[in-house]
Amino acid sequence: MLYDAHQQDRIIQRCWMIYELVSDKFVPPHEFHIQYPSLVELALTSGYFKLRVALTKSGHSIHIHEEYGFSEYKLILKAYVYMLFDRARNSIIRADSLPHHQTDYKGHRLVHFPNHLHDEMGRVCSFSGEIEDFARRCCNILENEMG
Amino acid sequence: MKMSKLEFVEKMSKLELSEDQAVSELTETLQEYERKYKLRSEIFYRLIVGTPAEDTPDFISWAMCYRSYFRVMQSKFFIGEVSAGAL
Repeated sequence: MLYDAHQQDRIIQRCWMIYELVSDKFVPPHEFHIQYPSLVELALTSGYFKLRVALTKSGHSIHIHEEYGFSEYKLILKAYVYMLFDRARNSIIRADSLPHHQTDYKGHRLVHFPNHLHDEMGRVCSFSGEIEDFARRCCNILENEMG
Repeated sequence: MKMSKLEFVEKMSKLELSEDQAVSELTETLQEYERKYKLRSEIFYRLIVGTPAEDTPDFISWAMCYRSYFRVMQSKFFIGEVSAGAL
């Protein structure tokens, strides 16, 4: 098996944090809660976590992809992409850690390089790399769109 | 209905982790990308990953999926070396 018990525990803790975040911040459908353990199972066996959840009220969807690795016993995100789509499946915002952008759209150095976010206008902005910050930003967009 | 942390941990403890299942799921995902872009994953990885062209949602996810597929295969078969240039 790819990961030992300690590493599996770290992945489970990470997946629980994401589950709690999505459950508390948004309104995922019932199936989300049923299917979630199978997503964790894939993460535990491959280090790849993939979540696509449609938000019941608005028709928007959130995609979360994370690739896990370990530095000694600490779980690290080797790569990630977080996306918010509208009901027509158009990307609204996206955060990722690809190192292809050094500066934001104003020409300032990214504060948490290589983490960055493509905003509603497609502009590159600084981003912390924290999924909680992405969720917060999604909530703000959804609140504005829902009035 | 949202699971409690206790329920979640209990479900996790009952999982029967299967590398074969992981390989099957990852292969299915890779094939979806290959059909969509008419490009084999090995070629995609060599040509696109590490270049600015990678900076699209599908390509980022595809690359993660491909690396994960290789990790599982290495673990499953104890391959000491990945085929040249694959990663």
